[in-house]
Amino acid sequence: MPNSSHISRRHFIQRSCAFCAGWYIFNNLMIPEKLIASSAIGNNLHKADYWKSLPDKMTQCKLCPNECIISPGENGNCHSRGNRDGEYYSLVYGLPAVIALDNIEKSPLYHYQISGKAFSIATSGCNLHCQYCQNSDYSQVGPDDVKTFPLEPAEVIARAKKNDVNAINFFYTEPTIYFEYMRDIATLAKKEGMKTFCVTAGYINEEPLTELIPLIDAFVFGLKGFDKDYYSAVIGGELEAVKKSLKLLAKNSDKTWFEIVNLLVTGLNVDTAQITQMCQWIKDEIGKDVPLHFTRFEPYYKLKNLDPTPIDVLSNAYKIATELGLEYVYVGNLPGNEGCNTVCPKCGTTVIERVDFDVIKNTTVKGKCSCGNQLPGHWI
Amino acid sequence: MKKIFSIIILPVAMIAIFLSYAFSANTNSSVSHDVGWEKQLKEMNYLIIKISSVNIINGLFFTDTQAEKLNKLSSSFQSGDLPSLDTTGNSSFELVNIRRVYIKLLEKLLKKESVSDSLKNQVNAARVVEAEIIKKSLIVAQDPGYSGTGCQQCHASPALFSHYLNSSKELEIISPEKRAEIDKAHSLGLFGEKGMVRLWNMKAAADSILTDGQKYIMKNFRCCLVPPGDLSDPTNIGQAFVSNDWINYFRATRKLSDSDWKKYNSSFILPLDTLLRATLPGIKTSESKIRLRNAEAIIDKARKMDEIDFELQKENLCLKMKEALQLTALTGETIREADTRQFITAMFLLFNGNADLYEKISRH
Repeated sequence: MPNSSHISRRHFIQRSCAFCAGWYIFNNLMIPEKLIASSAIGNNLHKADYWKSLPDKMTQCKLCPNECIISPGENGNCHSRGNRDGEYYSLVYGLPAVIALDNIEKSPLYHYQISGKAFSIATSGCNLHCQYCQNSDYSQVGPDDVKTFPLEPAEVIARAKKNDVNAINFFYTEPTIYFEYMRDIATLAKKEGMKTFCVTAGYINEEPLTELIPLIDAFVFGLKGFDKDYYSAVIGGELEAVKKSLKLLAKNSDKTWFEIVNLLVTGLNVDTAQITQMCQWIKDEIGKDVPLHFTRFEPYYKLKNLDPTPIDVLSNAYKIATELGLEYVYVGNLPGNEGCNTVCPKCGTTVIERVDFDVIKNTTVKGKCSCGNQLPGHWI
Repeated sequence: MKKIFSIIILPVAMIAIFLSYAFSANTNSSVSHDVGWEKQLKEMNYLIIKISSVNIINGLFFTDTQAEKLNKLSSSFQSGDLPSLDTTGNSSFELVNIRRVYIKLLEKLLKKESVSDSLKNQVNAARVVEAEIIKKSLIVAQDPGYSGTGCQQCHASPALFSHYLNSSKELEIISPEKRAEIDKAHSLGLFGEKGMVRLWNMKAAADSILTDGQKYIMKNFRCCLVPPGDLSDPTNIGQAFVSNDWINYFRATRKLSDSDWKKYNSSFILPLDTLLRATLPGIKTSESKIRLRNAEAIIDKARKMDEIDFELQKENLCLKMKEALQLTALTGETIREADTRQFITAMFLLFNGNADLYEKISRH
């Protein structure tokens, strides 16, 4: 008995072949490459700076030491820049994934006082791949993978003003990967008399960093360890490039303020010899009065198997740094710990007390201790 | 929309079922006569302070040196003659489920294990029932015809609820004098007369071990069952007021259209009422209404914001909500004298069994 819904083997093979042929033609012949690229990333392309053309429409990014060589239609290692038909674009310009109002102590920035909060902003993407990243939901993906808030630079400034905020903080993910967006916002902010801050891992080439320095009032620089193997295995970058950036900031310390953050990860970068070497290098090459923050690791992302950093590891690092002569050493992510406070190196008095991201007591007058010592930084 | 209802209505329904179950059973149980309401009150007090104490010790990040000093002080306090409090024994039907849930929570916290959403919901529901029992026990004890001794001077046995309870009666706001009496009565129940005096004498020593930052944290600390930062439900109980949970709460309210908000806003306000009653068992209906009205005004403001402004203002909205609900205003805890505050800090830090916690910190 023939069944009307039955498909013969011959029909099945014919239809399957037709479907496959159609699928191949549709994907490879009907849709131009440019359309595929554009549909994959949306229409928010902004011409990038710091790159060069290579043969066969290939491009090479010159923004960070990764210097990715990228084929047409592909994106860089940072997920935020891409080659579209031989041209190079920022894919995240005007598309922040995180916006918030925060105290700048959260950065952590302890020697730069402002009144009120800062407008924190971050796009998706990062040129490093720290295995403990707290913000991996944003940093390890591209703009199509997260919710974004369309905000052109002028709108960022307008919203900051509307919310009574007088500072912009490029924070949470790595700001240097949205270099053009940050630069344009910072330029407008400067014109409006606003302060600008940048929380960065410093994995950026010399030329773009030099362009950025006069636009940023203060950097929070994440020096994530002091061992090249640790940098390559856990962070996904090169220590030497980061040291070079830090030295460049130190050389330009008349133009911008900066503080260093070192996250101590349980069992990975907490070796006394490594911490000693790092502190000595900071003292010799960067300056003994640059604030250094040791922060506590909490298990996130790929390192959930590790314990939070024991408090005594942080205390040990604090001790090493202060004994070597670094004058402003802090311990972070430990609410209530004395290491959050500022101690005057001249008279030993605790002059600023903090809990979490709040200053609960400040006995200085514009950063000046009662003993007459002026704390370095920017005070109001 | 469906998800929002499951978030809001399911816990409320669970609480309602739990409440009706507990109170319907009250009418035909033989309650406190055979188990001892006095003993149970003390043990419940013990459990709540112990849980809070573990939470704050886990949250203060003591150094080895601090832990060693606190260990010595705590051992010295506990070596004296303290009343023995059993948390594993029997209890009346009203409290048995609450105690079971609290003990489960305490075990988790002592092992530093994460508290599951299911357990959090159970704790919240248990606290709601407990708050109702506390409220009724206080109202009954204020009846002119009532007399009791010890803890039962203020907390009448559930066995008497049906005889004395006048449902229209409400509790008064706690004055500074009353607060001091309450603190004294609660610590007497926990430590006895001698233990309380010994703790009073040790309070300065305990205080001297803390950093100024830790003292600042302790100044604002009150009983806390589920640790802050580990709560997923906006109807969290205790002192915790976690921004992320409130941000999610605001986000949920913003998803509703104006017409849906008009129809269903009670689904969002009701959990706030539950939160108020669970946190402040003695809150008057009129006080509660004012707070809920203020809270609704903040929700309205959040709903009217565009997406960008809401993202920027979300934490500020949470703080405003905290101010609107004024969770600590009626308990009198904000008006404690400095030395009483120091005594309360010593109570949390040197509480029974805490020496073991400090020992673990030092060893780690």
